[in-house]
Amino acid sequence: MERLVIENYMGDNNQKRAHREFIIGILIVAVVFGLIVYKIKGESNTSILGVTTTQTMQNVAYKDGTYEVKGNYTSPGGPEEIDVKLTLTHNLITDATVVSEATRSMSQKFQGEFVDNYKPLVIGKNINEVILTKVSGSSLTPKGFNDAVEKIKQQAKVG
Amino acid sequence: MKQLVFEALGTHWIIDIDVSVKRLKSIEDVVIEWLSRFEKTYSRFDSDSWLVTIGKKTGSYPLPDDGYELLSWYEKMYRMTNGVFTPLVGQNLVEAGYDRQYSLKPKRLQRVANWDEVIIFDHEQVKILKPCQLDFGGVGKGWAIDKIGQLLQKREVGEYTIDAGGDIFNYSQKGGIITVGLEHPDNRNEVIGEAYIGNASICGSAGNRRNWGSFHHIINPLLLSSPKAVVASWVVAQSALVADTLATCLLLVPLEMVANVAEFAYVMVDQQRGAVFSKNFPGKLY
Repeated sequence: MERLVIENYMGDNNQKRAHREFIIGILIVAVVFGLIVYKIKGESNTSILGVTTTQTMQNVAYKDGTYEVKGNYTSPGGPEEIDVKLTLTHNLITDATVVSEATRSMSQKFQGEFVDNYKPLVIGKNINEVILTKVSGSSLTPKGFNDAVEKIKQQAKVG
Repeated sequence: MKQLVFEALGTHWIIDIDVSVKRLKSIEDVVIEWLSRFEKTYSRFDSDSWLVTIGKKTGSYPLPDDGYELLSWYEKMYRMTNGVFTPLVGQNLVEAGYDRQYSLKPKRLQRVANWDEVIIFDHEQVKILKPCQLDFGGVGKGWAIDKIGQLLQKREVGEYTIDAGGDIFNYSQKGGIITVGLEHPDNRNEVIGEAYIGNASICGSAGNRRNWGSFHHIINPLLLSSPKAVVASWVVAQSALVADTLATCLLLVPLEMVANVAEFAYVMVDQQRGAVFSKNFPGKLY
């Protein structure tokens, strides 16, 4: 994992801010890289990366808090945007959340301009209680698929 | 109303149709004939299909019926979704175990190639630049529903409803409307709302039925995993092609990415079982 060691820095506030942005930039690059490696391993789509706690920053005082930045990387399919959230506590990154815009949960983005109505929790009614012509959902599964699932279940039982 | 009931394209079809018994048989023959040819051409599960054959070897292949239209639509959606909606995902589906034998034993997933590295096509032919495993599952059923509808309308059937495993198109000269229940993503004996469909299509997408391990039948080829943030989606549109495609896209990419492709209405259920639905959605949630 990348280890970032930042030199002591004394300067005026503007430079300090620029410096902080630069460091956050480096961290984003590191996290994005970590994310890409993570993704390539095929382990998760939206993840909290535990690895980032190994990254230390020394001698620079940062306000505790959460910093959120949008990051970009180019995937084989074109540019992708991801949202990187870093939590700093006593100069340590204690938490890093990377959310791909493409998989972002809607509850986080329901203020978006295209979203018209939001219902916090769907309520199910038994099919027999309502008068319907048809039901639409996930497509019925092919028989071969159902058989395979059944076989796996049986194997799991034996094992 | 009469009913045609059969299996095709890996799902159960019910066509409600207002014709005489005499005409029903000839219509059934035309429908089944069209679907068999379509499946023989575009199925990923038939090792002799045109789609499987062209993926095996580089070269130029003449396009079969509908080939140009299907590839054009796929390419448009591919570009619009930054490569997430792609026929090349066939490779990932096989790697995840959703293969011809339904082995359902996931192997390590590899990044699929870009469209431009693999596919070039014009009105007559498609050139395959490197071997690939193509899957037209994202658009095939919607396209087929529309085509069957056109076959029926050509034969002057004034009222019909095509239901292909819950993806539905309704046509009514008299302006009739059907009520379609929206299946609860966690319980198939329940519905979370209803949609009123007349001369339109409603298609749904969800990972609840065809799933194994951490995968379901839709895979994001950039993230190499099945989407989980949106657990179910429904789209109402003028054509089943648009409704079917967009229902899948809403599981894969943010709504904004595909919002301009056509006029449509939607419902999406997120991981926390909250629902977002458009103001123009012709129906209600309970």
